[in-house]
Amino acid sequence: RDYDHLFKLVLIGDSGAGKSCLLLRFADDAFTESYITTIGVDFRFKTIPVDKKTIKLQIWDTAGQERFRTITSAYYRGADGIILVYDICDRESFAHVDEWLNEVNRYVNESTCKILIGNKCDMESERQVSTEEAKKKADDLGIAYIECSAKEATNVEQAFQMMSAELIEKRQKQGAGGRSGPSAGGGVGLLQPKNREAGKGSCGGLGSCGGGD
Amino acid sequence: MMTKLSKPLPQTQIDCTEVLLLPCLAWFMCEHSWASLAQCNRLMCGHLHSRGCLRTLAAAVPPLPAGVLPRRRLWRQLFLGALDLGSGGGKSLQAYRHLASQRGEADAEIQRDVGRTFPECFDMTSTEALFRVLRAVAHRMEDIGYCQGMNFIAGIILRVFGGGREEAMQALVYQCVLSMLLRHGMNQYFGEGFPKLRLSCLQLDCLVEAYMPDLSALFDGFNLSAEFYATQWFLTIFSYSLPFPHVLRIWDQFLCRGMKFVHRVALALLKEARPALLGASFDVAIQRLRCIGQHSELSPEALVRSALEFKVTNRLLSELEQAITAPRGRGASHSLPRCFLERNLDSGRTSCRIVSGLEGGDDPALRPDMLPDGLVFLEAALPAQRVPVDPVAPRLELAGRPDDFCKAMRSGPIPEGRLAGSSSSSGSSSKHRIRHGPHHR
Repeated sequence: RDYDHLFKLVLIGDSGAGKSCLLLRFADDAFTESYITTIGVDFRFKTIPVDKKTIKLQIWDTAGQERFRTITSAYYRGADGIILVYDICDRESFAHVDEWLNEVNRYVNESTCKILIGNKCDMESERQVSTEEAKKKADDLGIAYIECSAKEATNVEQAFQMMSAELIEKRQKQGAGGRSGPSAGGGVGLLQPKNREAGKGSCGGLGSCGGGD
Repeated sequence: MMTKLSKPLPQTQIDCTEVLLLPCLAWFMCEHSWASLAQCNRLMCGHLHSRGCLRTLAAAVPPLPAGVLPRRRLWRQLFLGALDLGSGGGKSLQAYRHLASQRGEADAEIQRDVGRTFPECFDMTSTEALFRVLRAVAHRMEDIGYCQGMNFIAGIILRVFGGGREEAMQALVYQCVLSMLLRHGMNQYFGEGFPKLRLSCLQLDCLVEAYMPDLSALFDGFNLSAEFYATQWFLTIFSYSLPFPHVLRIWDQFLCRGMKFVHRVALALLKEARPALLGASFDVAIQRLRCIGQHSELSPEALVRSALEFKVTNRLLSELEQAITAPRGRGASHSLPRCFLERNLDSGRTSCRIVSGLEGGDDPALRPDMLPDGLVFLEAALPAQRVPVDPVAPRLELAGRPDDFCKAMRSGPIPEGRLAGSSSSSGSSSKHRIRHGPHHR
């Protein structure tokens, strides 16, 4: 085994947000203007060093069109991390962030790391969602936020590094606590989702409805 | 020969002359070129459109030369021959113009995708034409709307018929896309939940198991189904995955033979990749499978030849469908009905004919009058989706999870004696398999 930890990450977000471009930048350090629509689910892997450890990331890149969710949602299961991408020049893709989170929370448990990425931050002149607004949103959701540009390679590496570091910490905590299942010990941390049941409407107050399952 | 044929036959005579004419036509095709099929087909008022006739001809004639031009006439006939889409150029052009200029819900989605469809060969004009064509299709197919994948299908047709500068040409492309959806059955593949697409992938799983048991065992170890790697093959008839010359050759055959040819090409691609896949790690195998077309070194001719070596019949596919959708597991609900899907060429909707299994079903969701769309049945009957899992990764997650996605049904049995050349080594990897019916007991 040539790595210390292996993590499964899933890229989600609206069609055209730039998921495939982010992945291409991260995996191959390349960018192309002539990218084609992703159909179904794509896959890449990459090994990176994080905190003196070797981390292997298996990244699943999903089609963004709503109709494909029936196919792509199966891939959320067993994910260690979810990378939710929106386009800072497309307010609608930002507005769908809640929807996406509700969708993934049906399949993953609370200990799954989530991160919100605002892509295309090189296109400042066409920006529709301010950094502050997105930051606030991420804080409300209890997930980390970072702005990237796949085109100019801004923060792409960092986003994956950030997520990996978080995942290592979580895994070590879990290892210390014994194999007591994924939900134990997953409560603390920056990336815990607070609004797990939001959208179902059964309980409005945060944390008032206990563990869920 | 030519002069005789070019006289239009009265409608009433066709039925009685067909029997005599067909062998003559087959001979004629051999002697002449593929392209004259188009001419004959027009005169035969579409009687050649029965799949059997087309298959005979497709097998009898030499392959079409490479390139776009030789295909224009033939494809036009294969798509539109005897299909009355608003009779007469002027009227259909009007209908197209009307649909293409109407705003629709899917406009933003289409706009995003047209720039991401064959970006290296579409200029502004073609992109605009593609947008209008797809918008018209989305309006026309109102129960489906626009779905990603259609952009590649329309893109290929647009490339064959030339950039789409003139509106008349766009209207032609539009009608060909409609034909692809309605006559050639692709509409079922784009429906909500993609049940037909999933079924085709599960059928391919069974075929891989029968033809390449070692590969199938490897895939089983990764919990990998064709649903991962073949989705875009079925959804776009390879236009997403293979180079343009390959796509043209494959479509020639697909338009005559139907979806089973896609299965055969899939098997040919897997056969080529097999040495590289066997022994590969999870990551390498998965990544390779996803972009199998980029690694393929087969020429278009060699690929088609290799595909034709695999025998996949419609009967086999329908038997596999029955095995896959049969009630499974202990205490399986017997209320799952058996049904056949039918499509209506006029409305474009898919309906289903129930064969059996509704007696005693008290689930209201399974009552036929509750089902506007036959695909709902199919969706309910399919097993859970399988997601590839790296076998070496420690999975805390999976250990504690009772849900069935990991031990989902593998595949139905291949009916014995159906496969030419399969060495009937049914023993391998069969321990995971759930058996249906009396076969193999």
